[in-house]
Amino acid sequence: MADDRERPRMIATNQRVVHVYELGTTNYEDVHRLQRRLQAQRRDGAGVDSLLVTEHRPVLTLGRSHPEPSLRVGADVIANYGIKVHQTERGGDITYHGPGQLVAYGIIDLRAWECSLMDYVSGLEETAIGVLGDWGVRGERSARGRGVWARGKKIAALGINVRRWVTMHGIALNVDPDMSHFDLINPCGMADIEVTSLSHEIGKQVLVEAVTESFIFHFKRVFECGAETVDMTKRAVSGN
Amino acid sequence: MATVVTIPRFGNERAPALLAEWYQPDGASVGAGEIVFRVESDHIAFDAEAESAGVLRHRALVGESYAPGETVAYLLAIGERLRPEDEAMPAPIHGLHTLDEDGPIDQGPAHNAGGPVHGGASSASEEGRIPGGMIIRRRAEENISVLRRANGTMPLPPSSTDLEDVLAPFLLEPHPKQPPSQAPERETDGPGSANPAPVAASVLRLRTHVNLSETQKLRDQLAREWRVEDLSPSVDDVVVRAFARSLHERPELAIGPDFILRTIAIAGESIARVSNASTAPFHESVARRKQQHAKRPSPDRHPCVVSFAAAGIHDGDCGLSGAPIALAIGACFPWPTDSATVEFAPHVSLTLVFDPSLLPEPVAAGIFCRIRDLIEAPYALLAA
Repeated sequence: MADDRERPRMIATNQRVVHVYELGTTNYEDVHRLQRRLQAQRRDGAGVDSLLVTEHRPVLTLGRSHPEPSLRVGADVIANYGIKVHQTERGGDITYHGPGQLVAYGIIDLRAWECSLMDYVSGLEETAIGVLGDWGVRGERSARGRGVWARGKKIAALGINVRRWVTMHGIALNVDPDMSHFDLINPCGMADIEVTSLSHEIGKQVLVEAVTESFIFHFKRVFECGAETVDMTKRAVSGN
Repeated sequence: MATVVTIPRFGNERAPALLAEWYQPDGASVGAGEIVFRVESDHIAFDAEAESAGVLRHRALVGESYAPGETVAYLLAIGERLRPEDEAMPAPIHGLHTLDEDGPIDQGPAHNAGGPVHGGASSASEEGRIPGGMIIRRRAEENISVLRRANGTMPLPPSSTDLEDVLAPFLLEPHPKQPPSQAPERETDGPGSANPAPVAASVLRLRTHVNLSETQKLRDQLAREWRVEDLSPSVDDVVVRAFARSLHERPELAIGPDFILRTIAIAGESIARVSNASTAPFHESVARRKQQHAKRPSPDRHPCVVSFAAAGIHDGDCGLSGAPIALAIGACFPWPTDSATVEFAPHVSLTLVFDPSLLPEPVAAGIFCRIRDLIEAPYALLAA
């Protein structure tokens, strides 16, 4: 068993560095606003490539071309759950975010990374597949749609927006969320789709913090980039 | 002069993208950097900007799919008119997809929420099915997720010219070579000395996955411990550490880990040897431990054996070589080798060989499970 195995080769590139923001549990609209600001900065040649990692409070988000939510229940039921619905500019259809789900948003200048859009999206999937592998779960791609699947069930969903080759939005990996909330919607707009989580697959609780660490590790591995974790506590104290 | 506005290319594939929306109407004056239209494909929404200011003239229809590079609009200077040959609308992509009666159905006013994962066929509208909208059916592409290495092969074990030379520095004392299937000779000064009759070794096997991110940290820790520059401890070393820890946690058994003896296994007809240079520091470490132990003999403790099978050999095996317990390490899945190959974490196959007269099977199984747990979640190893 040799250890000098070659790492996956992406497109040859200069040093890539991503600034990682571990935001903790957040409201979707706050992070959405932050993403838009970071993307705008990056589009204008300022800012840095960023990876926002967070858990959202329960929320439903809609893709740009799907203004009407594809629900399995009435809108009043969604309201009774206290779940808001947000229209976004990303691709894809409806999805659920909530505590216990790791969400990673990359604000990446793909031209600077010399990375094609499809390579980026595939890389996000491969990152999630690597994370699942850390817990012994076999993640796969599927012809049924983008994202990552485990035993035929969707375990990670993704949706991306790109403007001037700078990305926003990203991938959501179900670690240990309240799976009953997925019953409220047709995930990705598909009525026949089943959803699963990492905890469900391995039969024991998994902490999002541990998965976050694993995600960052595999993100660096897949994209061959460095990562600088932003000390959020220090930023909060200094007010920067 | 008219500026051509084209469909962006998302990757190397020629997969068409759906023109989802014009943000600016035909004939509108747009500024440089203003978003003009959106194309979607594979859960990607791409907002295309005008590269220069001008009057926008649509040459493509919302709800249709177009190939990358296809002209969808022109930006004209004020007073400029389209050339007659540019007046024609480009043909949208039709008929590239095949309906799959069992496939999922997307419904929407004008979208292609998820096309094939890796280019090739694309979704397109079915004319006449739903006025003002469309039903898109996606066809399952051919096997796009390939769970194998790119070349489909496993590395061959390097040929061994002198196995004894490799083993010599690590042998506590010479042991007669025995095929794994034969009963081992046990030490006479150990717990088994009361029962000198040879017994058949028992074998337990399991496959477990390697937690890459945690293992990486452990490898870094080992490198710091060994204080050897340019060192890259291997996953094997992590497994050895897990083995040592599992024995250390059972002091009542009086087995290692001071006596971990790392050998090269003979698995089947393949002679496996550790070929990477990173193993040398570990060998030195073992040699140092051996010397230290020689100064402080501890006759109540017995060596254990760690053997290595070549990558690709699923069931590495090893002999006890006089030890009450031995571990063989083989590889099933290597680390990912290229980005196009869908891989999950590598697995290792482990084989535990033990002398049941010295170690009851439940005890050996408990050690084995502990090794597995430490490999899968090596937090305890890191904490040490």
